Amino acid sequence: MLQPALSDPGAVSKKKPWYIENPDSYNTLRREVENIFPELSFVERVGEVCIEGDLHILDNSGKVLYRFSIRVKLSEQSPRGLPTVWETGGRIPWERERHMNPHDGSACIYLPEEFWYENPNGISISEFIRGPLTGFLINQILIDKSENHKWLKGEWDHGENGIIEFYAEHLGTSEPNNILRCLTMLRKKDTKEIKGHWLCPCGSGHKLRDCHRLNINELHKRIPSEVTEASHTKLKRAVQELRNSH
Amino acid sequence: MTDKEYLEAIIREQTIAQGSEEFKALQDQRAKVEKILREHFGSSPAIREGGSKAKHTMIRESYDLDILCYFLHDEENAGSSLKEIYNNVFSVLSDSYIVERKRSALRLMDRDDHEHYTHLDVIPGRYADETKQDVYLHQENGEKERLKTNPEIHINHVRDSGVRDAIKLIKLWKVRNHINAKTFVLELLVIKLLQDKREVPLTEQLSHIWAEFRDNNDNLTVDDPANPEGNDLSELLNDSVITRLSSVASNTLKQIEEFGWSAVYGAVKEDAESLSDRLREVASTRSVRPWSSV
Ligand SMILES: [Zn+2]
Ligand SMILES: [Zn+2]
Repeated sequence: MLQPALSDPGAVSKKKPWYIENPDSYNTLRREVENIFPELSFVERVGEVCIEGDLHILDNSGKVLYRFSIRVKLSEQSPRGLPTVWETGGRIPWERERHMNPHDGSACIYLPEEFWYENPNGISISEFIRGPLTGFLINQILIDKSENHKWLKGEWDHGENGIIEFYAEHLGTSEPNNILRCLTMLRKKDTKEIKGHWLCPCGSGHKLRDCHRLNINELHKRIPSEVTEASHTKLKRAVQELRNSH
Repeated sequence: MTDKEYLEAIIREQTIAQGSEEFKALQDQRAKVEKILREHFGSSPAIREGGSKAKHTMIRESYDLDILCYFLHDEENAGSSLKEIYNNVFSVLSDSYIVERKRSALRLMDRDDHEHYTHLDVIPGRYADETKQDVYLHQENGEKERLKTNPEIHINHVRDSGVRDAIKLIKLWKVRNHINAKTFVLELLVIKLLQDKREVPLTEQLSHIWAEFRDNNDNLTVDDPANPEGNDLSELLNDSVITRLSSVASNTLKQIEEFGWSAVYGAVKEDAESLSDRLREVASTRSVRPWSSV
């Protein structure tokens, strides 16, 4: 009989979150964040650590322009990983068009690929709150104030289409099967396993070594394998659904 | 500006924000006190923040940071009785500050500038047992010589109340009207009176609180959430406090009716440059492209 808890090999080998493995660096981080943000504090619950409270949006002279109630769940993998964020004051509707997950209200601040590509070493939680999170929340206010507001740095399409858009910028192709082949390569543990004589996933018909080798290396180096793995699964499912529907 | 926007603006003006001078000064003071306590008592006492900072209800016009310094229940480093702990912490801090003995807290004043309150209170105590939940505090002048309490429950009760904005504005109202009521009792009152009104607009919440203060003053009682049976708070909410709350509330409601909300908290300074422009300026260097996983 299949034991549910053991059926997922990932569940068995799952590493303990860094904040349990390393309480000293957790306490340092906690002290640092609570020293920066007067109305945010750490809340430890079973299975998760969150930062909760009010975030103040300041102008360049330090005046408070706006306040948001937020909950930021720390990444389990790393103190510099991508956290999950909720807006808890009920100011932002849970809609895909607002980049809020309609199922659980979490905010889709970053495409994970882009987060790691832009920040190969991750970013600290306080940098994340002051930077991308603050930017995200301000864009949300501006949308409320004007329907014509455009996200200041643009936005990705939803779901797998956003993933395709990201790789298209690096490979020059938006053909889902090509992107899927690219993701298959990126799942390899070691860059050396990606062979130069393979056909380039961009669809040019050239060998990788004569084509997008450097782009693939860079993507492989910066984006963690869990992220490419998840995208691969998501995209594969979508491509199959598309096939079945024809 | 709507009444709601007006109250929002008042709260923003009263916010002690990240990077502000007040906040930096408070953090520096806190670090200094912690260093003194650690030098004398070592690594064993738990030192943490309490008060309005921990509850997220600080307002600029009147704020304080409680530094909780709790010794382990079986430790005698700072003394064997609660009174000894209180006195030892007092004398250690007296080297650097003018220390005023409050009921359970030690209030720190600047040595060079005697009038100057540092916004810091140190509250010495001892954990009741190994679980580090309940705490015993010495009482300098009270009926009982010791008070059993639970700082975690007090902090969470306010922080997670869902009515922190109303609490901030009632605290500001108390300060502006020189009402001599204990802040923590007022917080408990606000939370109790707004139990079924967490979702209503802030204007309605405040009007409701003041109407209750004015009309219903027989029912103004609170329980200590950490020790509902054990600690009697009625002395803190005595007749003279209630009479004062009631008469100021009645006056406040009259003023709102006659002159509007700005009669309560004064005018707000509006900036010429539009909010959207300033927000856009801040966001310009921080935006990234959002996605949506579904
Ligand atoms: Zn869409
Ligand atoms: Zn290519």
